[in-house]
Amino acid sequence: MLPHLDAAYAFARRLMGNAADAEDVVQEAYLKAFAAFDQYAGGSARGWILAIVRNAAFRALEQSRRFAPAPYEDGLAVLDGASDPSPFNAPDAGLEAGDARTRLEEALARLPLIYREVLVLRELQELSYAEIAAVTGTPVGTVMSRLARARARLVEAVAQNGGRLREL
Amino acid sequence: MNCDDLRELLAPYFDGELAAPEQREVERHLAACPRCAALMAQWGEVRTGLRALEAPRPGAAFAARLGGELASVARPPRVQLAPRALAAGIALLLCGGVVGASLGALGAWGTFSRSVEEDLVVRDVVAAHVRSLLGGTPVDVASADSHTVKPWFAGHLPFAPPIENLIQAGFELVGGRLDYVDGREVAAIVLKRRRHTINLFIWAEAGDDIAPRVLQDRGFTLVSWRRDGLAFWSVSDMEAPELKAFADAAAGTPQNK
Repeated sequence: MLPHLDAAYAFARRLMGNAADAEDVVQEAYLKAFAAFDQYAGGSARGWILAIVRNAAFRALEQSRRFAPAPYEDGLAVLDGASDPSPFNAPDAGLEAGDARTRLEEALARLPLIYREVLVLRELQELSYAEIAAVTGTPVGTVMSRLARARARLVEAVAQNGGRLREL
Repeated sequence: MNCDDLRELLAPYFDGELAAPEQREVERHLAACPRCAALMAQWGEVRTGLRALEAPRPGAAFAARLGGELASVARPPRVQLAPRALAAGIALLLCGGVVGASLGALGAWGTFSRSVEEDLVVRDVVAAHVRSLLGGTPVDVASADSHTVKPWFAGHLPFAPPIENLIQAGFELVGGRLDYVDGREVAAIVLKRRRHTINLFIWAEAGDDIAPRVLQDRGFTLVSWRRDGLAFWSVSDMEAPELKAFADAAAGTPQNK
C-alpha cells in the first residue's frame, strides 16, 4: 500500500464528489509528489501529500467548471431545488441512523468547496489549524472563520431537511 | 465577555487550539450562555456525525495501478546516487513508519545484500515488467514463432536473443519488444506459462558466465544469469522454483560456477 493513500483518496473523494475523478486527482498528485520530492521541506508528509492532492483537485475542478455551464460555486443553491430526488428532500420522522448519515453525507457534499475542504481536513483528517493552513494555502484566521461557517451551514442544511444530527 | 466578543474564539476553542487562559475564558462564558453552549453542542453533533461517516477507500485495483505507475517512473537514472538517496528518502518519509510495498519500490527494502548497481537493475527490470503488464500490449512483434521474433530483433539489436530452448521447454512465446533497462536498449521477450507472464530481458554484457540465481523484489521473482556475453534477467509473479526451472531451461545445460 502506498503511504497515506487512504488519506489522500478520502480527501480527494470528498473534494471531487466521485470515485473516477478522485482517482485521477490522486494519481496526478502521487506522480507529482514523486517527481517533486526535492521540494519537500520536511514536516508532516501526510500534510504534504494532502496539499498536492488539494491543488490537483482544485485544478481539475477549475477545468471542469470552464467547460460545464452549471457553476459549482455555491452548493447550497442546490438545496432550493424541489426536483432533487435524493433522500435529502424527503423529511421522514422515522429515519434510521443510516438515513441520517446519508443526509449528512449529502449536506457535506453540497457545502461550497472552500468550506468543505477545511471541514474535511479538520474533522476527518484531524489536522491542526496550522496544518490546514499549510494544505489550503490560507491564513490560520481564514481557516478558523471558514470552519465556523462550514459547521453553521452543515447544521442548517441538516435541520432544513427535517433531519436531526442527534439521530446519527 | 459577550457573545460577539467571543464569536471568534468559539472555533479555536472547539478545536482545542486556544491557549489555557483563553480556553478558561470561553468555558466561563459557555457556562453562563445557553445560546453559545447550544452552538457548541451542535458542533459536537456535526463532529460525531462526520466521524461516523464511512471513509471512502481507494479500490485495490486503483492502488495497484498507481503503484505500477510509480514503479514505472522510478526507472534508474543515469546519475545514480543522488536520485537513489532521494528515492530512499521519499520512501522513508512518506511511509510514516509503515513500509509501503509500492513506494518501497523506490527504496528497495530487504535488498541490502545486493550491490547498488544490481539493485538498480533489479528495480528497473521489475519496473519494466510491471509497465509491460499495465500497458496491455506488451509486445512490438507478436508471434509464437521464434523464427519470426528472432529476425525482428536482429534488425534492432546487435545480437540475436537465443530463445529456442524456452519454447522447447514448453513456454509459450507471446512475442518481443525493445525495452530500456539500466540505461540501455534491451531485448524483452514475453512468454507465458499457464496464466503467468514472464518478461525475459537480454542485453550484451561482457564477463564470465554466471549460473542462474534467484532474487525477490516487491513480490516478484527474478532469475538472472549470464551466458556467452549476454545478460539474462527473467521476472514474473511465478514462485521461485518455477521460474528457476524456466531459467535453467533457457540457460540450457545447468551451469556450475
